[in-house]
Amino acid sequence: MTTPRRSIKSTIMLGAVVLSAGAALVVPSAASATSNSGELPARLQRACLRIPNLETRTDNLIARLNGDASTKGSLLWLQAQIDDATAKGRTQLATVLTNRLAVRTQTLQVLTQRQTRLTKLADLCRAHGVDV
Amino acid sequence: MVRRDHLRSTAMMIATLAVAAGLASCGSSDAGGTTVPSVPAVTQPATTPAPTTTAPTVTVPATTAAQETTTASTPPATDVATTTAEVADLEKQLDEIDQLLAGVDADLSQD
Repeated sequence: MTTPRRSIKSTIMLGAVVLSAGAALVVPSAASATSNSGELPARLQRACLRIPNLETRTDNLIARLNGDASTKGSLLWLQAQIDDATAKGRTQLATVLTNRLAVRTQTLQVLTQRQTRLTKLADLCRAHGVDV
Repeated sequence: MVRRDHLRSTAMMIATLAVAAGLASCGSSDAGGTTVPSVPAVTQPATTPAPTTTAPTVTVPATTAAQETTTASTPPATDVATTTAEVADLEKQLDEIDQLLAGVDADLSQD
């Protein structure tokens, strides 16, 4: 007589345990969803606020690379250095500078593309309500 | 005996419902907690870069100038659905540009 009662009790207990486990799974997931919803806008705003400085730095570097022969670091300035080294017979230096000019020419193209991308990212931020 | 059988079947039903509730809660938490990236991650080599377009999933900018001034000190309310993947992609692109600028600065310092 005691065995069926114990079986019923144990089944009820098992049901209670499983129910508790289900509730325990729900509570942490709801908490994480709440923290995510609060964190994401702040994270987006922080990322967007980086854009203006990156735009300024990019603009300055593009202007410098596009500068005239008197602007140190510009493509024309570097070409003048190459010409000078070549005229003086410093072939190794001229080769190094020529290689550097090739890299810098590509750099200018990359910077121009990144400038365009930054503009699009700023537009995206504004679309999300962040004033950039 | 009939009463006991009835009690037993009731207990089994409670247990089954409890298991079902537990499984349902798992499914709902997965659906709500994880965000599926709506924009594929952009990985580009530094030598052959191309501008990427990160299109927002929904574009409904409805903030007015008056609202912006009132919420200037607090994080703005995003009217557009922003996913974690989108923000992560934005951060990644900004990091990449930051590194590029640092590299160019270092290159120019050689002159």
